[in-house]
Amino acid sequence: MVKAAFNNIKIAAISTVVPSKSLSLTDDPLLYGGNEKKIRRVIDSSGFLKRRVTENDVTSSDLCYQAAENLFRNTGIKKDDIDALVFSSYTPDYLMPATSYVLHDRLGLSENCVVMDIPQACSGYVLGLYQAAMLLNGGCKKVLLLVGDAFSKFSDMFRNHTAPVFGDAGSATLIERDGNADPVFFDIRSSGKNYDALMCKNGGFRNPPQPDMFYEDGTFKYEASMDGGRIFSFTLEEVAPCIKDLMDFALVKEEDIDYFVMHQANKFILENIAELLNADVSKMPMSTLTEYGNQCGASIPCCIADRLSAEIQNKKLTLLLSGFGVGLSWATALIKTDNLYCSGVCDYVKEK
Amino acid sequence: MEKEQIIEGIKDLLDTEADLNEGTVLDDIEEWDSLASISVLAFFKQKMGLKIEAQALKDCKTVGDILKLAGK
Repeated sequence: MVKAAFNNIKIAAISTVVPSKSLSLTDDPLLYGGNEKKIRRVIDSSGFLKRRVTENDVTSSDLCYQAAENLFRNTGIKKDDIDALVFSSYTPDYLMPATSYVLHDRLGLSENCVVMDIPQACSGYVLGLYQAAMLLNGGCKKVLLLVGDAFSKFSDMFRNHTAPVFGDAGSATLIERDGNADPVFFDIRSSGKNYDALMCKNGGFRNPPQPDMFYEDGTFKYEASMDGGRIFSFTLEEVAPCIKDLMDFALVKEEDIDYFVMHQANKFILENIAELLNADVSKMPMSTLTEYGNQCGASIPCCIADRLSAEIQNKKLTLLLSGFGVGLSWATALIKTDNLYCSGVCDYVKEK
Repeated sequence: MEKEQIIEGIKDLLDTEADLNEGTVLDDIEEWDSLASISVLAFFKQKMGLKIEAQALKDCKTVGDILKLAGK
């Protein structure tokens, strides 16, 4: 396992953007064959209800771009001062080049800038913060971390009406070097043996596009699939111990933590994790998933923006961040915020 | 935890009116689905500290098979 502590990094600002189009589980007459009792049970136990989805011509990078522009405009931070851009997503614009280069161009950042993509979803925010921390200790002063996903693009996950739970979202976070910052702690873990538990099989070079990989309406068969039972059992087994280990490493107790900001996987799993941690469930916000769906990598910053934006700007908060999912991957961070700028969740405004 | 308590627990989780016993075939229970199965995984973990593999539970045909997973 990888444990790390950094004494010189500070999260300065968070900005998030979601598409304005909202869908509800109650709107889909074909969900679970229209079995109302079952739909009600799913909504009650999973916590899912609404989700935001992009239009066909809007990608996760568009959402992240707007989140970044909002961040620059609202904080006054100069684009020229950004010396690293990290983009984390599983829904990139192109196979080549990395989407971070496209965003580097659109945002008009300096050429004195390290640019990279991290293909990751549910743990992408924590992994991105970890990468940012390493960049800041490798010569950079200000890192722009863009994390966003648009899983609604994996059309075949939705067309059989079984798992319409993913919501699209983009986020921008500014992390800077600050010698007076409180320490930030990380614990990062991976299980490659479960790489096929959440997978999109087609479209890469192992299974390149073939004529038989299209539905009749012309949409591509990504063969995106999720082994829900396996992921649930993994999460139940691994996430809480990883959080406990990090708390021990950082010498903090449950009562020292203001909020457990979890990847908004679903209410059922979060309640179970809270129970395994003996954590006060009121310190674990989860209504973000009801309002916006499982936003993959952007769910942690969106949860902060949705639920904590007012509080976080006025007082120091100790936050435990936990991301887990595709990979399989699970990653925990402990941060102390200080004057963190955070707007609420903003709707995407179509570019003119 | 005794067999009867586990069966009662499963009945609560499923929120079913069906009469459950060791011989009950899971596929015959209207409420038995993927959501029910993860509830059972969570039940074993939280109430008995047991780790059950999702695949092992998927392979169960009857309520009795689930009890065997719990060592009953």
